[in-house]
Amino acid sequence: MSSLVASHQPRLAWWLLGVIFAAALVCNLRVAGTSPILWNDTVYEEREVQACLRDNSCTALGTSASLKGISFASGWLALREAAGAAGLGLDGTHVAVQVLRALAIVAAAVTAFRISGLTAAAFSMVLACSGGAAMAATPIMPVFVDGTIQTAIYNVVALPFLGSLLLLLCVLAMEEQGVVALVLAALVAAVMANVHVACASAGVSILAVALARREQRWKRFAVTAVVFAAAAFLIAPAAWLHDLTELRRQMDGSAEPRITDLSSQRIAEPLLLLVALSASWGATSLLRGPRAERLKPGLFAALLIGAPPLLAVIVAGKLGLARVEPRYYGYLAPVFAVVAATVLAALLGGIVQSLLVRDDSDRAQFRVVDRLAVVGAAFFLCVVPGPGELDQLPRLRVAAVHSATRAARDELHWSWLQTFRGIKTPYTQDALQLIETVAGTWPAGAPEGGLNTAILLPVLTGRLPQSVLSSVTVLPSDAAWSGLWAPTHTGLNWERFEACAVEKTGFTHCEFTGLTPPASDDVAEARRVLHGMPATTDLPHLQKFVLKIPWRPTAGRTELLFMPRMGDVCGGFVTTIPEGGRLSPDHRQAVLSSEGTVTFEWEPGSADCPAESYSEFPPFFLAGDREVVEFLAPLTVRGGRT
Amino acid sequence: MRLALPFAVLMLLGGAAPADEAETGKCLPPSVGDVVATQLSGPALAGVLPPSWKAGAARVLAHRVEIEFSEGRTVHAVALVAGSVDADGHGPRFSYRVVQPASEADRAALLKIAGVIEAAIPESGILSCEARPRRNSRTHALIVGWGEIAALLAAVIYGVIRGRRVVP
Repeated sequence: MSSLVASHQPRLAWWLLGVIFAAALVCNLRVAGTSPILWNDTVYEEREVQACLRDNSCTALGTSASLKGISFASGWLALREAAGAAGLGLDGTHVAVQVLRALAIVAAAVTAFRISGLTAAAFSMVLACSGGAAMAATPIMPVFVDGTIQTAIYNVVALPFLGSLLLLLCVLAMEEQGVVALVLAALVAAVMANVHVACASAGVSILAVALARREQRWKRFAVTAVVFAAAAFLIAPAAWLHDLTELRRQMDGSAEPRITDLSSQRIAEPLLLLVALSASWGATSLLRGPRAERLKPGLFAALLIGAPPLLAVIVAGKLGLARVEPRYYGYLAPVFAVVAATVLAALLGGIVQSLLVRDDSDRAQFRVVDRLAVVGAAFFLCVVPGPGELDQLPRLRVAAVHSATRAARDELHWSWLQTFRGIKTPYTQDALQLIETVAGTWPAGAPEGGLNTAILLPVLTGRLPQSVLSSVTVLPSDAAWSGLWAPTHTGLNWERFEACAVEKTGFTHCEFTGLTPPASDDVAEARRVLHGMPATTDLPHLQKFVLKIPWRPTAGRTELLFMPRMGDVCGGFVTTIPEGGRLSPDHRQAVLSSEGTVTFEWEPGSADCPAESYSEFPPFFLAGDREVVEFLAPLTVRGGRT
Repeated sequence: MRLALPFAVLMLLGGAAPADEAETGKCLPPSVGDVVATQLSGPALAGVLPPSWKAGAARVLAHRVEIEFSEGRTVHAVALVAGSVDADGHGPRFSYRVVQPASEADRAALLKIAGVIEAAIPESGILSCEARPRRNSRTHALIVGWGEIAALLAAVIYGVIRGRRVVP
C-alpha cells in the first residue's frame, strides 16, 4: 500500500468516511440544488410513474426514446416508482439522487484508498464530484458536459453511483477468494443493464473480473453469469424478450423494425461490437500471467470495466455504426476519477519519497499529511464547486412549475384549457406535460376579461433585479436559478390561428389550428406537438414558418410584444402588425393598439433559431401588458449576460 | 399554391400506445395502408366526400389509421382506432375520432367517411397484438423496485465495510 509515503494504512477511519460523505453531499446540493430542472425525459418518466402509482398501470417495457425499437430503463422506472410510493416526489427524488452521488464519491474514495492510499482517495473525491462538473468553466470530467447529469432526473443520473459501486465491488472481487463481492457486483450490473441498455457492457466486465483470479475461476465465472443473467432478466422480462426480438429483426433484416422515430439509430451492430470487444478484453483475464499480476487488482478491475465500452464507442464512431452519447456511459466517470487519482497520487508520492522523506519521523509527518489531504479535499468540495457553472442557460426548476400550477389553478382559477393556452414559458411543452401529469382537479374556469396569460420565466438568481414589479412573483428558487411568474393580459387569440410552412422552393402551405389540449391517449403517445406546425423531419426543406394570430385589444391596455434571444429557444421576428401599432426596426418588438392579425416568423436552422430548438410548437415570446413585458425583456438574454 | 395536399400514405409501424393496446388488444398490419390508399384515390368516397374537400395524407400506426382532407387552407382529420374506445363515433370494429376542431357538418362528413373506410378493411386487416404483457400492476413494479433498492443497499454496506479495511 503506498501513499505519499511507503507506509501501510490498514483502514480508512469511519470519521474520514463521514467527512467524505458530508462534503460530497454539500458539494452535490450546492451544484444541483434541491429541485431538478424541467427536462423532457423527466416529464416522460414522471408520466409513467404517475400512471403506475395512481392508475395501477405500470410499463413492463420501460422507455424507447433514443434507440431504434429498443425498450429499456424498466429497472430505473421501478426505482422511481418505489421512491414515489415512499412519498418522494420529484424534488425528494432529486435530493435522494444527490445522496446517491455522495455515496458514489465515498465508494470512489474507498476504491482509490485500497489501490493507492489516502492521497489517492483525496484526489478521487475532487475528481469524482459531480461526474461532469466544470469548475471555473474548465471541464473536469469531459464524459458529459451538457449539465443535465447533475440537475435533471432521468435514468442516466443514476449511472455514476452504480458505476462507482460496481468498481468497488469488482476490486474486492479481484482480491477475495469468496464470491460474495462477485454476486453483489452481478446484482449491481443487472440493475445497471435495466437502467440503460448501454450498460449491458457492465455484465461482460464482471465476467472478466470473475475470471481474473486463477483460483476456482470457472466456478466464479458460472456463479457470476447465472446471477447476472437471472437478475437482469427478472427485473424486466417483457423488455428483454421484446429487445431480443427487435435485435433479431434488425440483424436478419427480414422483418420491418417497429420504429417510431426515423432519426433513431440501429442498436444491433453497436451492441454486438460492444459485446465482442468486452469478451475479447475479458479474455485477457485468462491470459493474465505473473507479469500482469503485478498490476494492482484495483487498476486491472478498472481497466476491465472501462476499456470495453470506451473502445466500442470509439470504434463504432469511426466505423459510422452509431453515435453514442457519452452520458450513456456515465458509470465510467468514477472509474476515470479513481484511475486518474491513483496516477496523480503515485506521481506525487514519488516526488515526496525521493525529495522529502529521509527517515521514520518524516514518514510519520507525511502520514498526517495524508489525512489532511482528505480533509482538505472535503473543504474544497464544500467551498469551490458552485451553482451556475454547469450550464448558463436558464432552466426552470420543477419546484417553480409546481408553484406556477398552484397559482394558475388556485389563485387565477383557470381551467386546464385556460392554463394550456395561457402559460408561456421557454419550455412550454415540457411544462404543460408536467402540469397535466401532477396537477389533479382543475376548476371550471375564470371568467373572460381577466388575466388570461402568464409568463413563467427562468432567470439566473444572480441576475434577479433588486426590486420586482408588484404583479410579478419570484417563485421558489435556489442559488442557481429562479422562476418569475407574471400573470398579465393578452389580446392574442390562441384558440384559432393560422400556421404556414414556407419551403425553400417558395411553396407555402397554411392550416388553421389552435392550442387545444391533446386527448389522453395522444398524451400516452407523446404527441406534444401542435397540429399544423411543420414537422421536424421537414426542416431540411423549410425556409421559415409563419404564425398569423388574430389580436383584439383588451380595454384600456397597451400590449407589448418582445421576441427574445435565449440560447436554446427558437428566436423569431414580428413581421406585420395591425395598423396603428408600432414595430421596431429590428422587428423584435411591437406595440399593438388596434384589432387585426399579427404575423410572426421563425427560421429554423438560422443563428436565431437553431434547428434543435424547434419542437413543432409555437416558440416562446413575451406578450402582455406593457409594464410587465418591459420588466421581463431584459431578463431574457442568455444566462443573464448581455 | 397547390389546391390539394400531395396524396401520400405513410405506413409507420410505431410503438403502439400502450393504453389503447391494453384496452383493445387490436393491431393493424401494413396491408391496411394499401386498402386505405385505394379507397382514398378511388371513387369509393364519392357519395360522402364534400365537393370542396380533397384527400390528403394518411398514416397507418400500430392500432389506428389517421386520414386528412384539405378544404382550401383548412385541414379536416379523422382517426380510426381499432377496437372500442371512447370516441366520436363507432363502427363494427373501429372507433372514430375527429382529430381537428370541426363544425357539426364537417364532423358528420368525417364520420361517414370513416365508416366507408372501415367497410373496406377486411376482417383479416385487424390482428390481435402480440401476446406480451405491456403493463404490470403496481404491486409488481414495487416488488421489483424495492428488490433493487435492497440489492444496492447490501452492495453499499458490504463495499464500504470491506473496502475500508486493507489486509496486507
